[in-house]
Amino acid sequence: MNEIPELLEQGVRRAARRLALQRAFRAGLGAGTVFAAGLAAAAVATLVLPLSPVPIGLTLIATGSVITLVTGFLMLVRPVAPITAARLLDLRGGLEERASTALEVGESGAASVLARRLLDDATSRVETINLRAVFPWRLPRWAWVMPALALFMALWPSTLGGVAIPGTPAHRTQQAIKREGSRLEQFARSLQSRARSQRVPQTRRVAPQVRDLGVRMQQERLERAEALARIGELSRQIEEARREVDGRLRSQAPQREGALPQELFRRQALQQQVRQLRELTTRLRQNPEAAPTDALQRLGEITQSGEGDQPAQVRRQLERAREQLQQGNAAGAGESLGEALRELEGLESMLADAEGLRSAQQQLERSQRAIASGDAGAREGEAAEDQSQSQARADAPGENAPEREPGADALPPEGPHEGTTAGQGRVREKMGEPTDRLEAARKPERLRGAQSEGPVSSAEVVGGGRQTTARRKAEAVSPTIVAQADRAMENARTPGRYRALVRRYFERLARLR
Amino acid sequence: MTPEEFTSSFDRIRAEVRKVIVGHETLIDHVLIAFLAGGHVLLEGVPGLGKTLLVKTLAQALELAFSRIQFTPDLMPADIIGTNVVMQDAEGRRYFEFQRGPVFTQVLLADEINRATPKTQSALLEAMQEHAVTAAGNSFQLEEPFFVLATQNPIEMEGTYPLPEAQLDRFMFKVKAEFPSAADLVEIIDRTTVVEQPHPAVVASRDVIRQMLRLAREVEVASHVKAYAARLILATHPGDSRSANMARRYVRYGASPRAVQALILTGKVRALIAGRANISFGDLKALALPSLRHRIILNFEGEAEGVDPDAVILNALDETPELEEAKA
Repeated sequence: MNEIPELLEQGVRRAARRLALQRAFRAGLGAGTVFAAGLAAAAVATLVLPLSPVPIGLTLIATGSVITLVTGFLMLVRPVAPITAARLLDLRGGLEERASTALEVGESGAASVLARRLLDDATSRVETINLRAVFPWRLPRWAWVMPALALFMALWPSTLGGVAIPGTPAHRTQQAIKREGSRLEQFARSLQSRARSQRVPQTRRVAPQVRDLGVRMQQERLERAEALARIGELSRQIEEARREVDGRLRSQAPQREGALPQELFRRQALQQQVRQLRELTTRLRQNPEAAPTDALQRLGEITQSGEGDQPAQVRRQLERAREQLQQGNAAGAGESLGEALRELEGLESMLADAEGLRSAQQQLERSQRAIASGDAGAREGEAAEDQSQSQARADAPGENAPEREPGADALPPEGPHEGTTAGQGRVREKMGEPTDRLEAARKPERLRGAQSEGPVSSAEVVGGGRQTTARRKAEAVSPTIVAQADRAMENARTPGRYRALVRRYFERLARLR
Repeated sequence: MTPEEFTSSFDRIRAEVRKVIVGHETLIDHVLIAFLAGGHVLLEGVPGLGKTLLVKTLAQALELAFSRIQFTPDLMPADIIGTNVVMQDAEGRRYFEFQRGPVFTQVLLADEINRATPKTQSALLEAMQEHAVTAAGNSFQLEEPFFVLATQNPIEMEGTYPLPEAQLDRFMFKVKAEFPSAADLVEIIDRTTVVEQPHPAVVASRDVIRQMLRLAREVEVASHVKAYAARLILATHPGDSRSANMARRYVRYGASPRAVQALILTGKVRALIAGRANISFGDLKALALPSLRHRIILNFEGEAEGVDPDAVILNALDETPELEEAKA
């Protein structure tokens, strides 16, 4: 009985491992090439579809991972049989079938005259063989495809990246990006002009960035993901700035229980206090001897109206001014009031800054949503533009086309006041279901009229509210509702009487807490 | 006997034969290989190439009995096998006694075998296959080793009878004797036109030859080598899925199962000569031409276009992969 010598077995096993690795690597390379080809195809598809090509770095990492995973997996599940390895070893190592014959003879346990000699001969030959030379690492003939794909992916952004075939969804998305870029630019210009007239450093800093982003979105060939990423990045920066401003505002806010209802009210109240203080300060500076009683009364009103909203420093200054007035020191009171005025003006600036930042953030969010909605949004926009143009051509009696406000023909936003565009839908439908929060009496009204020649403009008109009793009792609401109410009040051109009503509601709410 | 002894004995026999025969190294090797594999050889070549001398020298070097039969059209089977002769004993009674023919030898030279009729040629069939002769109902075993070396002239075809396929198949090898080169011719002059001519010495006894024959059959063959030999044979068949292109086009019948036996047996001898205890693909490839060329029957197209069976075999070798795994 002849057994397979250990050295022969080891040599064959080594060869089997190397062969299995090479075979698995070839398969892994194939899988990686197919994967990379898929990514390249996806990049080509961006000419038609609003997709984002995978960056070259990510492509290389992902392809490398695929190669590694497939190679490792196949190494585990598809090992090379020792007899196969021995045969290949014979063939490529010039062993003249010694190893494979010896392995078969050893496994069969044949006891022929020449079996022992064969086993010894094969062992000595296998021992001296250099596996690296016999099974060298050779790349397959199609291996050039991989670097070609990598080169393609590397050159794509600088050559065809962002290019879209007209009429395709990708093209429509690009149009949407450019349109939103234009909107951002316009918004940034108005923000800049507002920032110039006010002391709003953060808004002043942010406005050029928004404008720059808008310009870039119009000029550069941006993919959707890239555009969204840039908007997201700027939005994040603005958010940081806003938090900083909010932090400073919070540090100056009066210490009291309950949340500050809404900054809009606070700012309006501050503006009113600033106006009153400025008037009183001016009066005291111009005529310190005149009517101290009246000045004291005005100061008391200011202190009372600003109670709860004024920072402690301002309150101290006002208290000091009141004491100085009582002591007949009108000049000192004027200085104290001046100090309080500066404090309030600073606070008001910060509020304006926060408001500017918030509006920038909201505009960015709107653009982000419009771009993210993608093809559908773009189609909508294009359809609106087309409709507007065709209607303009049809309606225009002469050479002068009627001008319309942008977005006038767009579908109305969702919500209880849906359907504000004149002549569309029924009033009851547009009003929507009554909310359970403020069951106010509603009076559905619809303005009727015929379109005449000349420019057409369409806008939402909010009629005067009628004071009624809310059926729902005041109770603590979630911060989300508070924030929504804040935003709604800030955006809507709410009549003064209605605003006062809402404000009282929230003040009662705050006291309940 | 060890493989080393086999190799040294083979080398000695070859050297002794080469002392007499000039050139023809491959031919000598092939004849010796077929002899040690227990087969017979059909030698094709023009007259005067030393075919007879080769067989005679081989017989002398191995101390074996040697006979020569010159095949002619009027040669009868009894002239080869022998015949019953009426004899008379001392009392005057007559009886038949079998007179052994020239086939009762160990090394038989069948010179110009294609000149005898097929009937006479067939007289050799049993002797070659069974190493036995049957005459008048009696069977006679031939002494081992028994080796037939037949010759035929490829040029003179008139008055010849081509060997039937069945007989051709019984030859292990068909070897072609090439015309010697100029240097070999000069050497022939030097050796044969002088007073003292070389004489082969006895270098291996019958017993040694028998041991060599036995050891040759002990050589190991791996399963994939056998499979390759089988695929190679099938590649010469026109109707097989693995047949080679030329076989599909020019061959009527491919090599017979005896061909694969011949390949493996002679491969074993070649492996031992090379100092190996196993057959390699190289052995099979080296011996494919002499083993297969006389077993391939060309079709009309092949005959008409003068296709050489050697070309068909080389094409089959090219198109038959050694390992199925190697493809992967």
